[in-house]
Amino acid sequence: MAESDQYYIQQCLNGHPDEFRGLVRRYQAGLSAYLAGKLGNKASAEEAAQETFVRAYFGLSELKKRESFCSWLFGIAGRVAKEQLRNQGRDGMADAVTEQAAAAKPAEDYQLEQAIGQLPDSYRELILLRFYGGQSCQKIAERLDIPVGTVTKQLSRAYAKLRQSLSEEKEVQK
Amino acid sequence: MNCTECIEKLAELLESLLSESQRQIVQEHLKDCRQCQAEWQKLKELSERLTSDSQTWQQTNLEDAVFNRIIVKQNEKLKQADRVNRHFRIWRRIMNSRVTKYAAAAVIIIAVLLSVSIFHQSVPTVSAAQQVLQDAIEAVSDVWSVHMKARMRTRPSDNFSNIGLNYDFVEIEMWKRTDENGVVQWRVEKPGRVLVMDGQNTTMLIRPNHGVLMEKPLPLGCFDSWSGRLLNVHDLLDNELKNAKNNPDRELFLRHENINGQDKIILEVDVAANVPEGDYLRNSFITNSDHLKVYQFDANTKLLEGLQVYVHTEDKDILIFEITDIEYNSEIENGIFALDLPENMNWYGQPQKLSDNEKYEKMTPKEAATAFFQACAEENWEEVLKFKTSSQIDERTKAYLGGLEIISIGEPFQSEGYARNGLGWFVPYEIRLRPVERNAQLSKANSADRFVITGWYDNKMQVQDEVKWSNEPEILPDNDTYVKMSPDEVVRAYYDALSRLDWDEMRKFMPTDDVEKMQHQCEEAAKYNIDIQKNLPTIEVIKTFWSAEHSSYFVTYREFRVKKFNLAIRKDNSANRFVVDGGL
Repeated sequence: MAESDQYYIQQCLNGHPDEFRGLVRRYQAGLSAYLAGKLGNKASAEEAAQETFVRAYFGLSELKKRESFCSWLFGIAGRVAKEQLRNQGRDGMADAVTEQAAAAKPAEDYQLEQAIGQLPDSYRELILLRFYGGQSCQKIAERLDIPVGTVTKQLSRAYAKLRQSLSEEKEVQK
Repeated sequence: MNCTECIEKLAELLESLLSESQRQIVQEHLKDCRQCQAEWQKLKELSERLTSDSQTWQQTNLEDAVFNRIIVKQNEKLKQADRVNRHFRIWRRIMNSRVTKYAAAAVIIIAVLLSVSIFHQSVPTVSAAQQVLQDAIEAVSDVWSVHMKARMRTRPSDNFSNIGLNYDFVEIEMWKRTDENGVVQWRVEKPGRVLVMDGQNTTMLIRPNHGVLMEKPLPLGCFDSWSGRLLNVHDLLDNELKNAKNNPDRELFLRHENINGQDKIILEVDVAANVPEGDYLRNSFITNSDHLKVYQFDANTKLLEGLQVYVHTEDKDILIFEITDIEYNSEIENGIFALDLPENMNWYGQPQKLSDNEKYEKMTPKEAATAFFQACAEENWEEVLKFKTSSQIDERTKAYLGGLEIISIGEPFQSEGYARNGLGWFVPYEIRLRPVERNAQLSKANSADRFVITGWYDNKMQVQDEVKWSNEPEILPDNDTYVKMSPDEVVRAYYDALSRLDWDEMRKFMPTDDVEKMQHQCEEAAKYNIDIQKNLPTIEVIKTFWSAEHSSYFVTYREFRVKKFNLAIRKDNSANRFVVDGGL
C-alpha cells in the first residue's frame, strides 16, 4: 500500500492492468462511503463505486495530472451518482427492493457521509485518506508531499466544516 | 495558552502528534476551560463517528467485482477494436503492394491518425493482449498431455519447418505427455517423417529406411521441427508474451469472435522475416517469411484452441499452417511413443575424423562439392561416403548419381536462413546424370484408334508406373494426324511436348490426371528454385517391339537428364569437414 497513486497509474499504462487493484484497495472504502452519502444506501453506493473504478480504469490514459487522481476519481464518482439518481427516478421499483436489502444490513451513517460529500475536494480527500483509507497523518503527508503540520491543520478545518454541515442538517431535521 | 492556540492544537492531540510538553500544556488548558473542553469532546465524538462509519466500509471489497466489470467492458471494446483492426489489415495489404505503397501513403497517414484517437479512448491493446496471453499461460499450467492435429504446406518427407507457398497441405499429428514422475515423451509425425522421443532416446525416421538415433532426450524443436515446438504450449505462449513485452512496436491485434455460439478471443501477431528480402531461403521456412500468426483462445477456459499462420506475399496472405484440433489431458497410448523401424535402416550420424581428415578440412566449399560429384562420377562410394553423414550409400542414390558427368560447378553463396555459424554454404551445380534405359508401353485399343501411353517399365521390364485411363482417349479434331503416328513417334512427341511444358499436347498421349500431377510437380519444383527447363529429360529411341505377353507395343529408349540446382553443404561438425546436407 506504500506505492503512490502515480506509481500504480504508470504501471497500469505500462501494460500491468492488475496494478489497478492497488488503487481500488486504497479508495474503495472512501469512495463507497462518499457515494453512500450521495445515494442514501449501501447497495447503490457499491454499485456506483464499481462503475466509477471501471470508468477510471479506461480513462487512465487521459488523466493529465496523475497526482490529482483522487479528486479526478471523485469527480467521476459525482457524475456516476448523478446518473444513478436520474435512473432511480425512472425506476423506483427496483430501488425499493435495493433499499429493503440495504435495510437488513447494519446502518451506515449516511448523514456523515453526505456531509463528507459536501466538503471541498482537498478536505474530503484528507478525511477519506485518514479514516476510510486508514492512513496516518505522516503517511498522508508523505504521499501528498506536504508537512505533517499542514495535514493536521487542514484536518482541523475539515472537522470544523463537517461539524458545521452536520449541525445544519440537524437544524433542518428539527 | 489561549483558546485559539488550544483549539488549533486539538487535531494534533487527537492524532497523538504533540510532544510530551505540548500535550501537558494543552491538557492543562482543557482542565480549566469549559469551552475548549466542549470543543474537544465534540471533536472526539466526530472522530469516533468517522472511525465507526469507516469501519463498516473497510470490509467492502470491490476488487474482484471491479475487475470482472473491466473484463466485460474490455471485451466490448475489443469488438470495437476489431473494426480498427480490419482497417489495419487493409493498410497492411496496401503497404505490402509496391505499386500502391507511395500513392496510398497520404491516405494511410490520415487513417492512422483516426485509429490512434480510437485506441486512445481505451486501455492500449498491447496490455489487453498481454493479459490474454497471461490467462492462456495459466490455463495450461496443469496440462500433462497434448494431442495436436495440424496441416502445413510442406513436403511429406522434408523436415518439420520447411514450407512452400504452392505446396499442397500435408497432415501433421503430434503428441506430448508428461507422466507422474515428470518424464516427458513426444512424437511428431507426417507421412514421410517421424520424430519420437520416448523419454530416453530421440529417433528420427525418414521413410522408408533412413534415420538418426540420438541416445539422449532431445527437446522439441530438434531436427528442425518448427511444428513440434507447438506442443510446448506453455513455452509457446510465454515466448509470445515476452516478445510482446520486449517489443512494444510489435503488431498485436485482439478481437472477439462468436464461433458456433461460443465466445472466442482471437490474437493476431505479425512477425517480420528473419532473413532479408531476396535471400535464397526467403519463404522456405515460416521464420524466413513475413508472417501473421492467428491464435484462437476460448474466452471462458482461456485455453489455446487453434493457430493459423499466413505468409504475406506481395498481393495476398497465404495460409501455410493450421492447427486443426487440440486435445488436452487425454490418455495417450504407450505405443505412440515407440517407433517401429524397418530392418534395413540406414543411420545418419555425426561425421567422424578420417585418417586423412586434414585433406578434407582444407577444402573450400567449391572444392568439396566438386570432389563429391567427382566421386559419384567414378562410382567411388567409399569416397562419396566421406561427404555424407549416413552409414551407407543406398542403391537408389547409387543408381541416381553413379556415373554422372559434371557440367559446371558455380560460385558458392550463403543464406542467413542456412547460416550454421557461417559454415553452411550453397554450391550451384549442373550435372548430366547417367542415361537411364526405360520402356514405354503403348496401346491403340481405344475408340480414337491412336497410340497412347499405358505404362512405364524399367530396363528389366519391371513396372515402374501404371497408367490408368479412366476415360477413353478422346477423338481429337485433328485425330487423323495422331492415328498415323507410330509408337516411337508418340513417345518422342510426348517428350517433346514435355520439354516445352505443353500440357495440352501431353494430354493427347497421357491421361489428364497424370499430366496435371506432373504439371503440379513442375510448378512446385519451380517454387523451390529448380530450373525446370534445364531438368527436363531428353530421349533417344532404341527400338520398338511387340510383347505378346502384354498384348502391347513397347518403345525402348534412353533418357538423358541434366540437373541444375544448389548443393547444401555444411562444416559445423567436430570433424571440421564439409558434408552434403541437401539439394540433390
